[in-house]
Amino acid sequence: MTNTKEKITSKIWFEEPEKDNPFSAKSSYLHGYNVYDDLLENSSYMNYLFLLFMGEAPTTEQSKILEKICIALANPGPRDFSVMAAMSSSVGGSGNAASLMAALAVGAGSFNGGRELYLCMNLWTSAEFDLKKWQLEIESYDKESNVDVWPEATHCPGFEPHSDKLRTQTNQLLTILCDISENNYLNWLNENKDKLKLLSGSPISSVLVTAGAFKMLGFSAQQAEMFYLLARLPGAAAHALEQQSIGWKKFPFWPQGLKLSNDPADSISEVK
Amino acid sequence: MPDHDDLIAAEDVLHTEMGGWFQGERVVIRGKDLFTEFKHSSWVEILLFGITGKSYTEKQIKLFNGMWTLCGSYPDPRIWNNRIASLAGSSRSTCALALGAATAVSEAKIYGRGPDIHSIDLLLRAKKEIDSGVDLEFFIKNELKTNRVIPGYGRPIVKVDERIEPLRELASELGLFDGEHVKIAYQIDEYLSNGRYRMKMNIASLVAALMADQGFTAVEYYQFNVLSFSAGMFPCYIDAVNKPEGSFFPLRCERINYTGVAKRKWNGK
Repeated sequence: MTNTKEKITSKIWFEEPEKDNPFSAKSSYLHGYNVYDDLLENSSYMNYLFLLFMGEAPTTEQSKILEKICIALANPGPRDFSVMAAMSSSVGGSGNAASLMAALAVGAGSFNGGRELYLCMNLWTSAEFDLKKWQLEIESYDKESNVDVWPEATHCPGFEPHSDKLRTQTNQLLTILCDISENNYLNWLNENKDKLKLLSGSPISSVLVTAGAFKMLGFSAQQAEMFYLLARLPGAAAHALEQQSIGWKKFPFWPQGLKLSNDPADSISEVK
Repeated sequence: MPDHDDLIAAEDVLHTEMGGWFQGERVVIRGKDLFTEFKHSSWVEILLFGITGKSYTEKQIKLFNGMWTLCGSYPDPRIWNNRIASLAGSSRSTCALALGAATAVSEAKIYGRGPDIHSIDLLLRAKKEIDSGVDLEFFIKNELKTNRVIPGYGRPIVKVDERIEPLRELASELGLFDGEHVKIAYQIDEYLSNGRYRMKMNIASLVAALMADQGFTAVEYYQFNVLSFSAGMFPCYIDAVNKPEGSFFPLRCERINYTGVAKRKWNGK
């Protein structure tokens, strides 16, 4: 490995320098398009994001799907664990970056997080439109005992662990996405959601719907996971700022909520 | 059929054996009083007690300390995780953000937490298989066939791992070098380095073997290691924050090797 003139190889981005400063870009190009001369004036944010990830402009249908996903994901609400993490950061006066890092860390897991989305993408790839394959995948999700930094799966990705009925909002998301697009993934899911519930014992979740939408957009599992992590941050940011201004005294702490079963002072004691 | 009864049961109450803070009075960790029972403990002791619920001998604690000191405290800002700390310093971010992000980044596939947990898992499984009569060579070939790699063997950038000898010396001095997992780790090393694979044992395998011999599970070992690189990160941050901003290996525009499509017009899409 040489230390001289090493370069970053990229298909995404290149720059032309200012004449008098090789460290300052005069022009920047995203997948061949001039960002400041062309995209800034002519592209929407959604189309820019799609171009950034996929290398080509989206179709009108793809752009609409991406926008709907972004709206659905932008704010999971203050009860969501990733948003709770951001708020828990901000009420103590931590910096805004810490709040977003907290939201990312918590929102990365296999319960509603980026990991679950990633696993759902793989589920779609493995089973596609074959109910028998879905059954095999559902039955085997917890059979693999590979040790990993990720904790073992405790529910089948894409299916509700805490609800026996299809959530209203999951159904609304699926319906709206199906109205925009006649693509296979979402319509197949809409037609087979009841059969999938019979196979798994649980209703499908919004994560599976979102993964179907990402499949329709042509995203890889890694791309979809990244985008999902990004797309859930705006709500975390807004709620963190709100709670920061309200303050820690009005934020839940559960003062009587911790029960120690092995308190050396008392075999079962309540933290005062 | 799932329902939300488990959520109702957990609403506003958390039952735990892990500990809690009795405000203004005392702190309990895993059933022990922090202020009375850990007054003379080192930080590594309480860290491990929090992870495993166990206490360790003085020699074991010296070994665990030595592992972190010798194997994870590299203040080289070019190393990928340390680089985060340096970039944060050069960007005038905070030290806590730098360390938090660099620690998260240490959970990598080619170094750090990925090889850690996979190395100890391999050795724990190898011992189990060997104890049940399976031949080591068969085990290794099967692993290569299934996973294509042997975690803890081979190394990016350089082949020789300079940490092995100092750690071997320390473990030997403490009388903790003769466990079964260490023997297996060296047997695998002999097979892989002398055969067509040309892979040498790296530090992940030796540390994992030593910890497996001390009774650690794969997850306990992984969790113990989460902060193990931090001592090397602070110097990287401090050095960068004390140098001119933006001066950490700055790149000219021409240092992007563009391999994408040619210039084109958006056409109002």
